[in-house]
Amino acid sequence: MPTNISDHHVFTPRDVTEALQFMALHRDEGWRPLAGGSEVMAQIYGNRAAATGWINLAQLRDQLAGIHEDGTHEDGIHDDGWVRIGALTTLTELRRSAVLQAICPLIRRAAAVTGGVQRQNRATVGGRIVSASPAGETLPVWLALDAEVELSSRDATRCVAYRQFLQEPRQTAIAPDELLTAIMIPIRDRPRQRLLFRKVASRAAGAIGKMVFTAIAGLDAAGHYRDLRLAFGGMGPRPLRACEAEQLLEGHAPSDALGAQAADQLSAELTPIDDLRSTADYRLRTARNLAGAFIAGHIGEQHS
Amino acid sequence: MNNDHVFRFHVNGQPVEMQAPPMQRLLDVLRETLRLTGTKNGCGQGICGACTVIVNGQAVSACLTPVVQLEGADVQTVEYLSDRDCLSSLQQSFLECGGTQCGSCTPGILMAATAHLRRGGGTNTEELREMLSGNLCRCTGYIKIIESMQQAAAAK
Amino acid sequence: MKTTESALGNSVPRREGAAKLRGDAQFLDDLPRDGAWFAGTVRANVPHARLLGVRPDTRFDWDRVVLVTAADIPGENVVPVVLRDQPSLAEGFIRYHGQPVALVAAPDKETLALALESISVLTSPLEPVFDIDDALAAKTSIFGEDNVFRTVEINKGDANAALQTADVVIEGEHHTGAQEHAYLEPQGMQAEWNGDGITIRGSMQCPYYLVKAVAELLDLPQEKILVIPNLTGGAFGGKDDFPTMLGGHAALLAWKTRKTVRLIYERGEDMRFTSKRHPARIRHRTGFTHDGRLVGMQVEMVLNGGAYGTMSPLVISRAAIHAAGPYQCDNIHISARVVATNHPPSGAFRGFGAPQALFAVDAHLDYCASKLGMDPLELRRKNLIRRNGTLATGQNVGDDASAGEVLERALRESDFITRREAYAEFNREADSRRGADRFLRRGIGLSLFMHGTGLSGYEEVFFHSGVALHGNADGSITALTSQVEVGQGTRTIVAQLAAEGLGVPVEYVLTEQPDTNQHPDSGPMASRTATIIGGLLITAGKRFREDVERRQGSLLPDPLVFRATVAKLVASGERLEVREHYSPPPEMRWDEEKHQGDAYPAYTWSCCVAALEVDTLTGEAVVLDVTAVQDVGKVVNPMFAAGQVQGGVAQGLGWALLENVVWKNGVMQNANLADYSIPTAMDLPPIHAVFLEHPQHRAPHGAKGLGELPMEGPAPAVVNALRSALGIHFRRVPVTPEIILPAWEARNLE
Ligand code: FES
Ligand code: FES
Repeated sequence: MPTNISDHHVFTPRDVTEALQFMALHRDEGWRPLAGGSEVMAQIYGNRAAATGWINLAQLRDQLAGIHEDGTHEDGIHDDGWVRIGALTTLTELRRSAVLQAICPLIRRAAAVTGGVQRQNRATVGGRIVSASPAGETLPVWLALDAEVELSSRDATRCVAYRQFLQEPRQTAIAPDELLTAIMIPIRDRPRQRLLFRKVASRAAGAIGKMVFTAIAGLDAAGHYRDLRLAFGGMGPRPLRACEAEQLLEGHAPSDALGAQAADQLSAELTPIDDLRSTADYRLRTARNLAGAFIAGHIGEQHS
Repeated sequence: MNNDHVFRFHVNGQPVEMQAPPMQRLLDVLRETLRLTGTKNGCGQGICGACTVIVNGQAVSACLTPVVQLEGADVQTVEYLSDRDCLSSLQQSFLECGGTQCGSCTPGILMAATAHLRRGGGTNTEELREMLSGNLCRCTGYIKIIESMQQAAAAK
Repeated sequence: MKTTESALGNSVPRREGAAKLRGDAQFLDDLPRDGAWFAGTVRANVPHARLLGVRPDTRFDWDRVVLVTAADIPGENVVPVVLRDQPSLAEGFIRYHGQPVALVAAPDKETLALALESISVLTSPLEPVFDIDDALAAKTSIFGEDNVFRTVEINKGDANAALQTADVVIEGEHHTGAQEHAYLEPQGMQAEWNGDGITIRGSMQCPYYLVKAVAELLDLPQEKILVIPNLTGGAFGGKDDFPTMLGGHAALLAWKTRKTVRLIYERGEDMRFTSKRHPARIRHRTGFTHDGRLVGMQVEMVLNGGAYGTMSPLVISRAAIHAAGPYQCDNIHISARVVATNHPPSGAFRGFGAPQALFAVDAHLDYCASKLGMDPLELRRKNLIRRNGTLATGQNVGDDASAGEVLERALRESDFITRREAYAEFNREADSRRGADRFLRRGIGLSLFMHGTGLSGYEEVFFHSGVALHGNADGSITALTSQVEVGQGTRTIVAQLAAEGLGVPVEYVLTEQPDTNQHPDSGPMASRTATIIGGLLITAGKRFREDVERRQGSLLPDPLVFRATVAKLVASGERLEVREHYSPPPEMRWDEEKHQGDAYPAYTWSCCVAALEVDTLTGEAVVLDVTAVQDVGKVVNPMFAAGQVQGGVAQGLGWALLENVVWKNGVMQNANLADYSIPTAMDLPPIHAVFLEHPQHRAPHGAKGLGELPMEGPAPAVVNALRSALGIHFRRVPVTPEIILPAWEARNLE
């Protein structure tokens, strides 16, 4: 129980402009955005809230929720070839989007295993990105997709590669006067792909993952890996890409031997920890096995 | 310091206007202010689903919903389902199929199920298991809950 | 003329069901607050220490709240369960992290939260002990000289000699973990000072425990304590002994404030600081002839009781009695101890010690089969208890012997043999398959077990359970018991049983939530309502009818006429009331000291089959389906019975695979419903419940206990299914992927 719920203040802007104005004026006062509220409310009522001032984004849904295929940024920064997902898009909306399903089924998979229906109806894409939980289900997918995040302030809008955006555990490159307004997914022409999403958790639903693994493998005409992405959650202080393994495997054809090589490389590259949800040993074994089986070509679904 | 705001929304079809701290959770508004105690507090952390209510047509956890985000919203709780003493067909199915035992999870499950069935969600066992995955029940093993929902859906 | 069809065997809908479905059933926290104060608990933050005192921060205005410490207790500072070793509020020593040291009541939540933050507990640390071996070595002293709450020894024949001459002796050590009850409604009590006594309401199983406990604590006569249980949102044993402490706390605050005080635990507090299932270590040494006949069993069992005795002395008795399982062996030695550690006290939990014992014996038996090179089914068939067989206590089961029948029925219902072969084939061909399937292994396993109905040995006599029926002016009849509705359908079942005795339709019988003024003490709640209480109700019903017919001077087979007669008699001022008290069947003999004789009036026999699939990439096991066959004597309400089995199996599967209490310095680290993973709908398989009905002669209607049994089958069945899938014998539940995966990978290296 919070000592005093009345200590918490809320400002409710009517639109994005007003929100950004407010954030610019009060940039050093510790106000934090309030999106779907699931994370923030659990923190407040668990007596571990990071702030007492909240900018309620509820009225910005018209501007900041939705999935747009043409993906041109309002400021004209982006060309076609991007899908723009508004930061206030809920996980339920992600799950139901035919557009996203066509581009990358992994997004739907990840959204579907994030909490139950109740949470998916409230939790937002942006909220999950900003809270940057090390085992957040959707986060490795954004990493694997080479997504960019759009950060807006009163004076500017910038796009940052999501990989760079993630910093220290649970921290991001967002400035106090910036609002995360969208995540942008590049659409690339890849004729053949193999995809995988796996969340390994203590039960089938409603638990934070022990580890999350997602992979996107392009395959060229000769059947060799091209543009391979291996992303993990729960294997370190933040979601991460196994870059060295990706490079090592690039250009090779799937085989059991290559799978074994991938597993060994991951042992060198990943340094998970013991915590109350699992052990470092178990996390590494599952990462090795899942990635090894994927690279060997045994698991994963075809997508084109 | 009093930081209360005035909020207006609808609960079970009735307009509500109330003063509250903006981050007060809907769960407390319902149970304490409006005395609608059908909505249960099983964890207060958005995990058990006992506090599930329908807001603007969607199942949400009342323990994670701040009142400040309800301005103009339409909230429905378990008390809305039956017409005085007459149980809704979903409730009647739960009674006939043994879908409630201790009853603490029941209101939340009824609301999650109502939202699901209203939007035409699938009713095969796999779909219902997934739909129920945000509602914990320690008594039933869920089987009779699923049967109850299927009976109600079939009667439609 | 109309006669009444039997009220037993029908799926009568739940009496309080509509109220629960409408949302207007009132659990404790749903009662109008009416100015009730909020209460909270000041707890120790070390696992073992000398308690020096509490220090209230003088910056807080303590006149705004009421604080209670051990020094305020007017009566005896004790939670009287069995041993009387546990203080209501700590005095002198802290024995576990989280132990209540003081209580605070405040007019509102915010003031309460501030007060709780403004008080510190002063301690001087002592060495804690969490491990049972360290406790047994008396590395630190918690209880008595040896930290043993109770030892139970059972001897039949000469196990030592038998093991020396056995052809084969096989040893095995098994472990079971703590389990959290995770009832959906957290613990809560409200106490109200009413001028010269206390009224207590709350979430509980056993209202009469509270009457005695609170009277002692407040030094008041028992008549001044009225206990009114609310509808209780799940219990599973967690609201058996624990509310005795919690109700005492609420009562102390009400007594000191002279107000109404409501004390409700938040989920995290409930999970960290209330009792759990006893963790156990069980060692078997088992002797066989070459052809697999059991000739000797030695079982050495240690349960971790935590800091105080609570129900442990009774739990260890049931654990010991069930330790040899449903198997016939002429030479058995069972040694069972429950030891004190600096964990929060373990307590009652569905199964009450039997699940631990039954897990070990049935997992061990499958292991023995593999060592003997026998089919585990054959090994069971060869050794299971038959008619006139004798259990470890020497009890002759007479014709209460359905172990063989439930086994064969379960094999048929689950298509066990065919599936076992199909899975073996599936596993052999794994490497030649393409795709994700090549990593899957499937297995099917079973467990055979029994659960003694009612309380152990003389405990039933001790409780002297009673029921009453009385006639009302409208001709209806009220059935009074102290059995609380916690989800099992007690109100409905009590009405069905009374109606059966009375020979009237079930609607004629009224039942209500008990209070301790009106309702006779019918003893603690366990899976005994249908049998012990049911027997009393049926007898009372018959006597009630006889009484009415005698007064009327004629037989009244037509229920409408019977009802009219009851109404007429009551209207003319006659008092129609019948009371019944339990006394054990006269032929029952029990020696508590030696644990010899008729431990229970009857046994429920069961066989549980689980099929599962393991992903060998992650070690995750998914249960495909469960078949639970049980001989319950008589099914009172088929819908409720199936619901009990499905819920019990779900809880058993959770214990077997998912529910892992993570301890650190005696504190549960994963004390929330996400990280402590009870099964969701997506974790559970179809559960097929099959009932056999062989009436047992020691209850007038034949019903045997059902509530606890179904949770006992899944753990051994799962471990046996894992052996069938992976060829590995696991010795521990919960058997998590963290255990399965390394074991599988180590096996592959061989
Ligand atoms: S009380 Fe809201 S989800 Fe548990
Ligand atoms: S009926 Fe008790 S928790 Fe679901």
